[in-house]
Amino acid sequence: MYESAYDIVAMAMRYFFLALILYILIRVVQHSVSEFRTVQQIKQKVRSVSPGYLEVTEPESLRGEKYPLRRENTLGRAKRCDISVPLASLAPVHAFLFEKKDGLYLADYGSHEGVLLNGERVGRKDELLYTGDSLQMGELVLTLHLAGEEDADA
Amino acid sequence: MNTRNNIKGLLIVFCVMFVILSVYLVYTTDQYGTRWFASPYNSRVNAQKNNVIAGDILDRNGVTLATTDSEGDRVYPSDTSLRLATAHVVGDNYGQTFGAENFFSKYLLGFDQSLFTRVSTALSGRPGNGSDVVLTIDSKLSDTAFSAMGNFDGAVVVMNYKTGELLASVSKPSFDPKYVADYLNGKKDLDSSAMVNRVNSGKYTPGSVFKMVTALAAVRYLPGVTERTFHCDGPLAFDAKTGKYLPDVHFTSEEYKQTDETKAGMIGEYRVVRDYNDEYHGDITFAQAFAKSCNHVFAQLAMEIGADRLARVAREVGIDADFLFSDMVTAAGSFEKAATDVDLAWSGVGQYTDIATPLSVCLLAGSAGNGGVMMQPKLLREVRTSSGAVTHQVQPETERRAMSAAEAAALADLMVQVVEGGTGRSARVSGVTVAGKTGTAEVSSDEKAPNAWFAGFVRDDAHPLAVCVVLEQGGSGGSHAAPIAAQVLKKAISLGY
Amino acid sequence: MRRFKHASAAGLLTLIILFELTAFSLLAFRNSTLDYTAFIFGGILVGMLLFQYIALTSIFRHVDRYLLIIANFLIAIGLIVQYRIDPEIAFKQVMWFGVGMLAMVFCILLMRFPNFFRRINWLLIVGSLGLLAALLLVGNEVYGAKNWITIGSQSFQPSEFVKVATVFVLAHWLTNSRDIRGIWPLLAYVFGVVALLMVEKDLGAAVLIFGTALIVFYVATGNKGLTALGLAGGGAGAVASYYLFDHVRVRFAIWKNPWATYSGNGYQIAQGLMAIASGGLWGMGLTRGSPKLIPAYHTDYIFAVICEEFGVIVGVCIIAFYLVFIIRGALIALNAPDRFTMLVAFGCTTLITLQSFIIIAGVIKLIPLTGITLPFVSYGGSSMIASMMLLGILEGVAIQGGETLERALKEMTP
Repeated sequence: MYESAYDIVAMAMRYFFLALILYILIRVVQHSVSEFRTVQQIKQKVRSVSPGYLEVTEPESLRGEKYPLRRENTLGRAKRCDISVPLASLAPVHAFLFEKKDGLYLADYGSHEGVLLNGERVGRKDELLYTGDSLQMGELVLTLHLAGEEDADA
Repeated sequence: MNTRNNIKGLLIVFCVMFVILSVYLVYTTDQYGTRWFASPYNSRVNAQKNNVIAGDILDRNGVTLATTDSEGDRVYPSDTSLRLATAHVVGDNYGQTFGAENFFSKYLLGFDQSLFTRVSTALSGRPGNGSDVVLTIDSKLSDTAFSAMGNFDGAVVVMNYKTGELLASVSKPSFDPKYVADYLNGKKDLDSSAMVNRVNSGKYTPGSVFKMVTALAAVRYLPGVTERTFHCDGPLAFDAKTGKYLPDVHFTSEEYKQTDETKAGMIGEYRVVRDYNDEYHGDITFAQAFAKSCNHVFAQLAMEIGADRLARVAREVGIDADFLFSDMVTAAGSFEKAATDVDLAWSGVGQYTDIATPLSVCLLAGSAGNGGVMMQPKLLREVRTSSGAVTHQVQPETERRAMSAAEAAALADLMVQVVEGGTGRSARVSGVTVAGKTGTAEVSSDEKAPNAWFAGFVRDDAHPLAVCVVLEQGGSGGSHAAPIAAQVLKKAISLGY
Repeated sequence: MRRFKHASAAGLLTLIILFELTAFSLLAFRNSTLDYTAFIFGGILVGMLLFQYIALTSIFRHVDRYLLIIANFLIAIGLIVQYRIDPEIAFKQVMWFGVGMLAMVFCILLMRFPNFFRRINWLLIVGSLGLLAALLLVGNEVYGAKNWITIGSQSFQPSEFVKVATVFVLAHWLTNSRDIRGIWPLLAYVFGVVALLMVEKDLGAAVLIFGTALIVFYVATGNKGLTALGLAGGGAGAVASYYLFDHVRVRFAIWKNPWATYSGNGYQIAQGLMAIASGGLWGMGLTRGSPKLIPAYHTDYIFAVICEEFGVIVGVCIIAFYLVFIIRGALIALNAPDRFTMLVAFGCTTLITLQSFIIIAGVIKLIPLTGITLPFVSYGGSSMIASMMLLGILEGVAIQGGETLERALKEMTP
């Protein structure tokens, strides 16, 4: 008699356990999704303020110098550029870095020597940039660091 | 950047892997669950027998085939021939066979009972009752079939080809469920293969019943074959070494009679394919060749059709299929694609390495009668719980479309002529049109008699019956298997099926 | 916003506690005499879970709570089933859980200085190979695999720790160089480990480490060609081992048809399948199944026991929990502050993925069975500690990533 009472309770509890487990699972999934979205939002917010910064690797005189980036940046020798680097090998306005919906882009502003992205010359098309990309303009070599993504691909 | 994208990509792969895992888990438990549970090895089932009074097993008309007495022992009907006739379907109480006792133990031992039933059982203080299982078979028909087989071993199966319900499934040699304990501890002797259900697990050489497959393939792949006339002039010759067909070699009746009896399958230096009793049929049509079961013609047709296409048809009609029926276990037959002409020729007339179970041949015959649709064989008619509710009523389920409706009609016509004026004359039943195919399957090159086959159906919507009879070493299919089929069909019709 | 989420995670922890308390209470009543130890056990578990959660969330703001919740759930259901089978092993397991918690905290702290692991890289390599080689000499054979070492009265499975070390070794070498020439020590290490494991007949660990190495390699280098080559090499190795080793052939045969070899090797798989089938969708109810019929019911086959008593639906839920764990782990990797930690985190995630997939698939006969444990759920000291270490590493990386993001957020608003 006792055994069958236990049996019945055990059988009834199946549904209880199942309901609990399912509920926990669904909640975990729900919260994971919303957490993911929140983090994405934060990242976007961070990036929208400053997409990141450029760090100089060459020439040695300027090595380690960090230039924070805005949503649109002109880069060149001239003082009126957003990022002004006093090197003779740079054109007055050498390159243009700007943010579009899906990321940060690079455009050659029409300089003589051109802009090299990871060793290849940038053509007429705007190039999408990633953390760790190397930009070379004349003798100036910069490494890009996007916000929130330090050094993912060293 | 690359790395990040790779991670995302791999994450998707992981998701797919785990989804597959879940789906497989659910699918496989759903498909095979009953089988695993009903496995004779599953001791959980045995444990339950101590706690529950197993339900009764009844035939479709309510005749009790197994029940539990007041002492908790399993008892069977007092009629010995009834017990033997239904033994394989009913099964045994010791987990030795896949009969209903084991296969439907889920119901018999109350595993499927709702919480409510269990609660009320517990409250009443009495031990629980399992559910009763009503089978589709008719015990009287089974009894008739069993007696009709006489001293021959083999199998008889009768089914309703529209619903798939098995009306009789008899396998000989049989065992007596009453004495299984004695068989197990050696007190009583039992044939070593008696526990095998030959209907669904007996692997036999089909012999000429396979011509149903070859004829179907011919109708499908050789246009105009039904209008052709053939000239059957005795055995077909093949090169002994390469097995290649030699169409120009013919034998006269004298050469023929001079054959060396010790070298089966050969005349002189040639390998041959010959007809049963060495008949010469002369000029015959396709339909006549089928009706008279002419090996000469069908061997040639097999070679014309080719091994690939013949194998495809054999597979499509389920000869070598590993069926997964919900109500029973089956063994798979086989059809190997022959590499040489002579082997292909023999495989086309059901020899070579062809293997088929009586059930699959019955299903094939049934599909010919059912417009090409093969129904799933059913053994469980309904379950009656201890509280009186009726559950799990049998639902006809299509197993597959074995052939197109037109092909089925053509095959059916051929089969009608077998019984009307061909080798299956003894299968005639007055008042209905019986269609079928006989088979005389050589089983070995020595003195053993061939297996006798008859497979067929009744062409009548009021009596949608399909039948298959196999008699081990029964001799000629037409002489020995066909009459049994007639007897069984007659009984079935008289019982109202 | 954050605090609201904190509350819901804590809420789920409460539900887990409810779940396990109910289960243990039920277990307490299973015999006619009240089993007080069940209540005590349940209470101990509650204490440990609460302590772990509160301690971690109060010290580390960015700890990944839901990862913790999932792991706690898996551990809880594992303990429930183990207690149901044999209270003794449950007590042992809960002790290992305690040790595991310490190991987890240890790893979280160490992950604040990830370069530590880079510096001891060679130590890890030599140590792992040495440990596995030592097994050849002094190891005990259990269930046909020579992968246990007994110290005193306790047995350990060193391959579990080699697993964790491998993650660091992989990440270290693949952070620096992307092409194959720079990483030949890594290749040598992986082949060495896999070879040693094959010789010791620990097929499961071999497949696990090889698979993880291959996946992390692909992720880090994106080199489809070499990865395919590696895969082919692995396939060739598998085929070769099929012909060379008896036990591989046996595994394959019982996968194809466990019923045919029921009296011998197929017994385990067949029993597992019967158990799952007996449970059906809803399960038989706690304690109403017969788990002891299945060999290795508390380790490799615990999934079948859970399916028998809790039902296939719960089985699917457990698979889902693992999947969410994996997705969260991959997200943690994506949010990692630098390449090394990203690879470490993804390596841990891959390990858990492959391990749970391989064993569950083996139990349900999707692939041949290999002798590895289900992370967090299976009984096993080394397995529990290693899994907790992986969890700790992931949490460590999560914390780092969260702190980096927080810093970036702060820098925005000077």
